[in-house]
Amino acid sequence: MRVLVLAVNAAYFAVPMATVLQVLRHPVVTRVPLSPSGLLGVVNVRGEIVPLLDTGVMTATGALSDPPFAVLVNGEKDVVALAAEELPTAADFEEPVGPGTQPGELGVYSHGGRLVVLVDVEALVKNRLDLKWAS
Amino acid sequence: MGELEDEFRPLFIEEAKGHLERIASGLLALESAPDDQAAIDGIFREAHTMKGAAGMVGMMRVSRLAHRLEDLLVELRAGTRRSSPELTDAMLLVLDGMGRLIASPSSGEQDASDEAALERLLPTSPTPAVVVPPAGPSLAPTALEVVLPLPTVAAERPGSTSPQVGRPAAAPAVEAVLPLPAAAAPPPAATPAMQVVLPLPTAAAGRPGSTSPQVGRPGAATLEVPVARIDELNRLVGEASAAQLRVGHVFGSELHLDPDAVTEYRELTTVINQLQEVTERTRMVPVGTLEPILHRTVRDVARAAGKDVRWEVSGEDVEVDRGVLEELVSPLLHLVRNSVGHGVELPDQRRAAGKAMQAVVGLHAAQVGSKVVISISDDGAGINVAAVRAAAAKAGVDVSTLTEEESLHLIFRSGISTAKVLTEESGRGVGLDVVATAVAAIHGTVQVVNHPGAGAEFRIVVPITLTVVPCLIVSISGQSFALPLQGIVRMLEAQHVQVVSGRRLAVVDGRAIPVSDLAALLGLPSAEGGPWVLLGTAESSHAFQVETVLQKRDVVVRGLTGRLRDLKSVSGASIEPNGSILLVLDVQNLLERANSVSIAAEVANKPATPAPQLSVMVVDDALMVRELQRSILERGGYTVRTASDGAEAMGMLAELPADLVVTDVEMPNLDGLQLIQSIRQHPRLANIPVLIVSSHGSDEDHQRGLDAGADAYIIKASFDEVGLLSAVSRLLGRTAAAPAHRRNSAGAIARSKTVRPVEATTPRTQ
Repeated sequence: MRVLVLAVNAAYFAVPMATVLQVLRHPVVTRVPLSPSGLLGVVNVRGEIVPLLDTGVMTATGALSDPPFAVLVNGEKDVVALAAEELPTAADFEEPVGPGTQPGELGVYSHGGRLVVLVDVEALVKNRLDLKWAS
Repeated sequence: MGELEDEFRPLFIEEAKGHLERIASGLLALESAPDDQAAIDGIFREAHTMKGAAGMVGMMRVSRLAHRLEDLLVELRAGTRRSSPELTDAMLLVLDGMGRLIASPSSGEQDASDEAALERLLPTSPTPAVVVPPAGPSLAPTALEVVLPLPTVAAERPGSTSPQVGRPAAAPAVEAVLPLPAAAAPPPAATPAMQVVLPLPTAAAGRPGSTSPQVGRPGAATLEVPVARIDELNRLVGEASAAQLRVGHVFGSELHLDPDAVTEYRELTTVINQLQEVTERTRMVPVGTLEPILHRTVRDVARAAGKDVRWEVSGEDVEVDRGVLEELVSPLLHLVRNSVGHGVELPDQRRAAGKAMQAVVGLHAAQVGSKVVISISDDGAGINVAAVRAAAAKAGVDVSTLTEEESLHLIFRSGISTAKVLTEESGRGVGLDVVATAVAAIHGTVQVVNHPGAGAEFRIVVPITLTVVPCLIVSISGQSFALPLQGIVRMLEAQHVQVVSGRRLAVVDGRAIPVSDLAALLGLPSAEGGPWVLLGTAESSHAFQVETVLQKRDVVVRGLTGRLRDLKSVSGASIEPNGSILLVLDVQNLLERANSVSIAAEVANKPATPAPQLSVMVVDDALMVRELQRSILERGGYTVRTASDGAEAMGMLAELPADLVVTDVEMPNLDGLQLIQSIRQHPRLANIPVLIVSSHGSDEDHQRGLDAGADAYIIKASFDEVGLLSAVSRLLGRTAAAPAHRRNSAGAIARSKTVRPVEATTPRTQ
């Protein structure tokens, strides 16, 4: 399976390449007051306003502040951007070396000497992010 | 069919919708002004153009029917035939039939039969034929056509008033402005239901979006463009804007250049900004776009029911996103059918009730903040609330505790058979639950105002997913936000606040009003002071302290989509010319939140922020200048206090010294030079660096500043954020290790009396 590997807080996770639309460099993030912690802000992508999700919160590794990269992926309802701390890299996953242990984790793979968790973005969002947006 | 016909037929099909609509509108207008020669001429031109174009693309049946219409119009123009409702009926039905023939050009026997049937509808002699209108309303206009202005001057087309689309000879000229659909254009069935008709650019084009829609104006210079192409244009412009921002970033990060200092980059920015504004506005369409189809429905239903109804329209220029308008077609048709069919009475009944025999049904549109209100009203009998209650009770609803208002709104409930009861009981409400559901699907609401015996009004309130909203732009924690002017009562300077029963109150205009810190309310770091913005209504307002009021301007607002829709504090957002996102705050939500949040909670909501190390006193008698400087300095990490003149500043400094003073020169009470002299003479303040920011820029002015004891001098005309922060940083850099007031409080360091050179835009220190 072709995937894109994202680095977040010295951990790595991957999303299926089929869901990836684009990688943004230096996304200009607009903070949204009273939004849940999982929402880093919104970004302008070719005139569309796209939520930028805090992958640090998603992966429970610690909130991010000013990510240098964002990966646009097709969600179930809309396009979302995932924050990344390094330039994401493409990879081919074959057999997992271990199962996912949390909802939204599809499995653990070995890639370049690192363990990478393949995730289902929507499932992670549902299970890990506080999506009961503050009022 | 020849290749040329194949190539241009799709274009003709799109163009023909406009012709048919304009002819129909003209015929309806002719009913109330039968002798309007200009109207007849306009309709004739449309029919004539259509006849020729249809013939050129091989749609001979359509061409022949257009020719028949043309003949009748010649008679009307010559006065040998008079316009009549029956003639209008016939011509409208023929137009409907032509629309069907165009939409499904199968060229088969059925079409031949249709043509013959249509032909028979039209009178052949000077004696008008009597045509029985259909039993029910004919809603033949199947395609919604949108006419909207293209508000910029892209190119001139000398001597052209009509694009003559569909005529091969004229095609190259049109193509020069916007490309014509290629021969491989999708077949009619695949073309979008809604088309956008753009007036060709003229040198006289005014402010973008300010022109009237000119719906149905014969001879208007327009060019039809598929909606998908407009969407693609919008997307590409957005992409160009994003790319430009990235280029700017590369300038800074790779070349260490300020992109705005590069002339070519600035020019590119200007062009892209203009392009973005124009393309944004192409998504907006006037409410009046729906007027023809609604007018036609009113007329047809009235004719079928034997009612005499006048159709009135106002606010047709109000613009909404075309996506919203598309969704409103069905609900509005439903409401006008209800108004005419069930709301207004028969002429005899009206006369008996002491009303004019001719009823009035109207469409009114207005923009209210980020919403558009579209109402359908009538002067009929109103809604029989007792009948509604009876119907609801029959459906199992407990109506015993319902107020009149609540009972009235039962008409929107799906479980009540309104059709059965209301129509029989002279009430109405057929399918109003469907209307409410459709409107709710686009995040709108339907309200009803009932005047028993005098009529009813249904108001559809929908958000404008993309519209131009006048806003006040304010700065909060260094971030800009837009507040729709609709929700703003006024602005004022901060007033004295008292805590009463746990609430912060201030007396404004003789009334105690609650006060909230907007930054704290939004969970952002807040600063002391700042102007107030009163939100709400004149009768019930709430003051919100903001950091800075930046400007008042129109904002192109778009609704948030997807999961962002759930953000309650934000009603929309705008893509700014520089590509950044400006959030539009939801005023109603702010008011509700402010009323529900206690002071303690507000304070607790404030994020912990490290205390700034250095403080700056800004002194200027102009509020705008003070707030601008405050905003810049706070963004630079300084704590800022402000004073409106030298006397006030001295009082505040004596109470609590600052690390630096930024002052104007010309001020009432104590001017800037006197302030500096006072500071230098004050034992505790003498060593505070002072920066003059003044509009006086002569050498003599500089010298006077130096003589008074200023450390640096900035001319307002060349004032900018970088210059101010640079000057402040350099001045405070000397004292950062030991802030001035602390050194002086120790009494150990006296200020150097050495005269500091002064330059125009940046300070020069020793």
